Amino acid sequence: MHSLYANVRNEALKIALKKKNWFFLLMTFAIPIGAGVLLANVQSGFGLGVMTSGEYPIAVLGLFTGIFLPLFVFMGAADQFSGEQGDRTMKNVLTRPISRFKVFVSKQAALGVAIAVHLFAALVGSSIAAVFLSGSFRLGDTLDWMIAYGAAFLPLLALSIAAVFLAQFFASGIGALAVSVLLYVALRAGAFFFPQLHSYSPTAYLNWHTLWLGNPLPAGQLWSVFMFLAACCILLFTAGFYFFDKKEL
Amino acid sequence: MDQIVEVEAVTKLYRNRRGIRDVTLNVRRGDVYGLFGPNGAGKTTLMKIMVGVSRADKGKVKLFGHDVATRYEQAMGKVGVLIETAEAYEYMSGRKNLELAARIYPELPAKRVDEVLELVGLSAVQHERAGKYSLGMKQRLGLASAILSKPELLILDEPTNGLDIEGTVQIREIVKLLAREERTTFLISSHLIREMELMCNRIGIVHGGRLIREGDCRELLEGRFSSLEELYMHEVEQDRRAMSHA
Repeated sequence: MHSLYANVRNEALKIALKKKNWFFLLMTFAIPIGAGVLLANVQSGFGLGVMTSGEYPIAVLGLFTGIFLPLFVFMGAADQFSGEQGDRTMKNVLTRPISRFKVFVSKQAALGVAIAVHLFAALVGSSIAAVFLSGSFRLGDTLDWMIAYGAAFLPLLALSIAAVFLAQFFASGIGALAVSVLLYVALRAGAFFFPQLHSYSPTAYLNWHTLWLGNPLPAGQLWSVFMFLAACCILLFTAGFYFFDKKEL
Repeated sequence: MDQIVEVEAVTKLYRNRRGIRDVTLNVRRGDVYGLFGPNGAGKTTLMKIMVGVSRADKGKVKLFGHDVATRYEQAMGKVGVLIETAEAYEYMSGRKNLELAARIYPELPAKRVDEVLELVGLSAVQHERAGKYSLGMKQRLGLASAILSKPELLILDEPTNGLDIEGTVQIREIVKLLAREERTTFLISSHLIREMELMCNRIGIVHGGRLIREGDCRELLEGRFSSLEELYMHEVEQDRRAMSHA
């Protein structure tokens, strides 16, 4: 198991040492603060109360899970698989005494860690911004925020596993990223035309966190979405590994 | 265990029908085994199969008695590899590249990274981004990464690629030093016969995807040929004749 832990650290370090990922993280932290301050000024200037401080972090999360974080997920998956194949650095790890399964798991796990870090940065950023907005927030609100940001991890993880699966078919990071983004846009746009079919796509549940804010909790719906996302994770992970294992460099 | 590399009847053909056919070879502990042949003969394909980054259509490869296809971690535990041109993570320093590789080996002392940087002559530029390294420096970094774990077997594919004369001599000296001091076994491929002659005690000649001759350097040359170049030309000519008659 040592090689697995070691490679999770290595893969996480690879993500952390890329400047563009730092830029993404900085944006994830700064955008909620900037937007929050701007919104507070607009609201106080016009005497409006469109959004209270208690609602703001949840609204930010909706925006992030819909657009910003999927983009980061696609970029990370493309970099770690097809990008490394294109740079010919994949062999650096595949010629070490570590099985391909462990390499695959560690790359996926590092991507999961990066998603968690971004969600945490967005939570902190939007919580700071909430202070500037009108309306007081309670301890219960902050608990809701934490639950929502925590819940958002699962659909993003499922999306990352789907992106990793897709990356197996490309020999360059740019190609994988472009197709992932186009496919994502197509699936989101397709939801308007084929709503029944859209429910079979993991992209339909990126706002899963909103279910966790209901009172009472819609337990049946939560369970069925959880099972669907878990099934997507298992199937796409298995298929992704199958192609990764077959890959020749 | 005397044989630490066992390649049994390995065949791998690409869509263009090039590749390797029915190659069988063995490398004994302590050998510096040179695999040589022209570009496109199949040397890299064979080495890629040996280290598991490519799969054979037929046949089997064992390293230290472990099948590479089924017991990869055990087979690669004491192996260092440099296949084709060395590629580094360009956004990291040379040192960070080595530290990443070192993390996979739990027993490796922390000072080992410094030792290999010193050995390949990259200590002075260890903190520079690998993206700024010249081709020769990257090749040295690749060699440093291959010898990092103090492997008992080193598989080096064209290790002097991109190196100037000084770098080539340095690589040769490192190979000789490791073979002598640490009894490291080498499997080296090259199309530079002179280099092979200076480094290897056993050779295998690959031509047209087949291993057409292998053996002890001295025994192969004895009495009949003055150099490996002469032997090589003779073997290749004979192979061509045999193929045209077949």
